Amino acid sequence: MNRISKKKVFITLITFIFIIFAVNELDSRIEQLNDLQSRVDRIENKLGGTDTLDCDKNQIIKDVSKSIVRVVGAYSEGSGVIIDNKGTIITNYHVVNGEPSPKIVFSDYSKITAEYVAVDKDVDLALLKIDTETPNYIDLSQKKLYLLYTLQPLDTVYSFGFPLGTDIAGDVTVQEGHFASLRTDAGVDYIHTDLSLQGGQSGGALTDVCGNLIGINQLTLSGASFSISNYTVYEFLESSMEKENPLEDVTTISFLEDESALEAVRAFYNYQVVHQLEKAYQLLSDDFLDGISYEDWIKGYADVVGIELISIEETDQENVVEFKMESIDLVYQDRVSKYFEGTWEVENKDGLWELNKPSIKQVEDPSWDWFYE
Amino acid sequence: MSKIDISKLDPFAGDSPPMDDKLIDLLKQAYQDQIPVHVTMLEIESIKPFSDYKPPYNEQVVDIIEKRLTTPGNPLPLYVYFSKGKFIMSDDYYTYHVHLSLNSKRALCIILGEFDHNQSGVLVKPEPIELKTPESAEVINN
Repeated sequence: MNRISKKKVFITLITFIFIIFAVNELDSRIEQLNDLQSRVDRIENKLGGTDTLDCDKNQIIKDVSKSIVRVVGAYSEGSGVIIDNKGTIITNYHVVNGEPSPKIVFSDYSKITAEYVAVDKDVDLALLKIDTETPNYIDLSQKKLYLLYTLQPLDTVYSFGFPLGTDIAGDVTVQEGHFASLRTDAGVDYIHTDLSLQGGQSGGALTDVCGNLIGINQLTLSGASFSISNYTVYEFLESSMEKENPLEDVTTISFLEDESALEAVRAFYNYQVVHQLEKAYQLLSDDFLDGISYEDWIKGYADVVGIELISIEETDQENVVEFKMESIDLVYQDRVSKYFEGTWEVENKDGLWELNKPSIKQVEDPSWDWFYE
Repeated sequence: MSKIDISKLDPFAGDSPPMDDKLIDLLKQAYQDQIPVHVTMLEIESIKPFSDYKPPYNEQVVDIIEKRLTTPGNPLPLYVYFSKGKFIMSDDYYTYHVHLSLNSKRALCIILGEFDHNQSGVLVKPEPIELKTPESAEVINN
């Protein structure tokens, strides 16, 4: 009895020690598992969360690319995004500004003329329609608008567009960048990214890693780009439907440089208005340029985001045109207006008007009546 | 001879913009020199109409306003006052809409009352001015 009792005690002791060991081991394993789960969560979050991990990058790029088109205006080229299966395309207003019938160029280089549905120059958006079915499109439904607001700084985004427009053949360019912040100016939400976009990519799509449209690319500066948010795009679509005349901002700008000295100077600045600096450069005489290349000449426009001709008229002197203009520069992300006035002496060489001798000065802090003199 | 109170004349009778009591009050104070009045150029985006009212299209009126806005010498200002970050326009709908149709980026404005001179949208240094009381019109009864 005594021996059995000792054996029982021994077995109980061993069992107890084993249980303690097992519990410790289990604790340790649970701790390891928790640690592992935490690391998996961190990696998952870094990659954009569980929803993002389900998205197939290659397939998304392939699908979204089919919805991107080139948009050719009179004086500018850009990209556009097909947003339904009925041929509705959204792009930037500045891409089609001055063009009565914008052309849409598909990836196979087939072309079709679009009609305007609505434009808003303040928001810099234009809604176009082509008379064909478009089975490939990006859904811009209201239920997806919130996705923009789930983005965190440094989350990955994709840009789709055609840099340099039709000058360079080939497929849509896809770039990867990072969401930096959501900015607002004059009621328009802008997405700031670190993408480096080129001319021609205006009006293209900005998507999240799952191919959801979060913005329309609009403006680029050195190392920073801005896209109009999907929410602002949606608001534009909604307000367009309510507008009495959604096409009131469709305007044309004259480029009649062959007609007279006055029109040559007007065209010189109007080309700058529509960002056709090369055409403006071509109106400058060789004497004025004195060997300055186009590449060097446009360096002076690095910070300029807008030009406006305030007034232009002939003077008493033959072929001397006087003008006033405003240049809007972007300085540390602030728009700064600079005002200039002066004259251009214009020459007619072999039937072509050339801007030859300028006399231009900056007007610091003009008073209100400067605009009306 | 009888006098006509020109404030009661309505050149666009039949379709009037909604009344803005604040503007009327400010105009009264301005004419009595009780509040500052400034003239400046404002960004068109910084101007907010008091209402969605759109004046009926009248080619003659639009032509006159368009000429005034695009020809030097005789500018046509908008009377505005500052409220909640915007300059409120409530009595110059024709001029405002012609500005929009011309794609103007700026408009000459007379600002009634106090405002921050460094407010975004103020394009040039505001200059103080004095509003002159409009003369009453007279018509002769034959």
